[in-house]
Amino acid sequence: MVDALDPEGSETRVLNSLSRLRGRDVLEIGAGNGRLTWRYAERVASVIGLEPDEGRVARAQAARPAGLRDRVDFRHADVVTVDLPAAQFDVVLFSWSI
Amino acid sequence: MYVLHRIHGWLRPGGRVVDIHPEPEDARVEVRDGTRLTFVGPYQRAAIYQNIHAARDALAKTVGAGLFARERTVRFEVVYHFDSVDAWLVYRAERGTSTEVDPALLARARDMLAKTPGELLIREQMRATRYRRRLPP
Repeated sequence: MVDALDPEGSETRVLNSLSRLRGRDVLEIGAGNGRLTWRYAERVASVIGLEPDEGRVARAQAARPAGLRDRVDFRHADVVTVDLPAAQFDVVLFSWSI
Repeated sequence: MYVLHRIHGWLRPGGRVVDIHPEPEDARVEVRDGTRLTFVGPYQRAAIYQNIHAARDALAKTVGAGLFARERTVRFEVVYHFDSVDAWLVYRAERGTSTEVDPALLARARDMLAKTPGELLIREQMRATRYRRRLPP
């Protein structure tokens, strides 16, 4: 899936240089339509993507490749109120959501 | 700070936070026709610069409070590619972008693209920082 933003993959290269994602449990805050998620999801153990916009969550869920459905989950949720268990993630990713 | 405290609790010991966000500075709007790049103008988003500074201050406070240790920062550039001004505007609408675009900038870009089969580029400077979760002091 090619997005208008960063088809060169600069952001993905920087993300890879900053974090070892292989086999990790990742929480992505502000996942949007999954634009960045799809660029690393194949390598991780699991991803939960939080996104406050319901429409973008629906688009992200609909775009989930069949092979990733068991490890990628998008939730319509606000990081201020979402209920998540303690000590569940290895990496928390803020992408354009600061 | 509240959200960052929550994140601290969701991370396993030794976990990392990676924060990627735009630098609080104007992006560059260009038209590319083949190998020729023409600068259209700055894309100014003063409304979000204050938010970025406030968020950076909050992150710095969590470092100061001993919740996270800053490990590494990388500055880099991302580029948006659009075949028309309207495609850019649709993309912004889909992302719920709240900032305004100067109508004069849009008019200049439309005019340039009408004279060339080129594409519209938006160059944005970014900052990515990795933080390591620390045990609370």
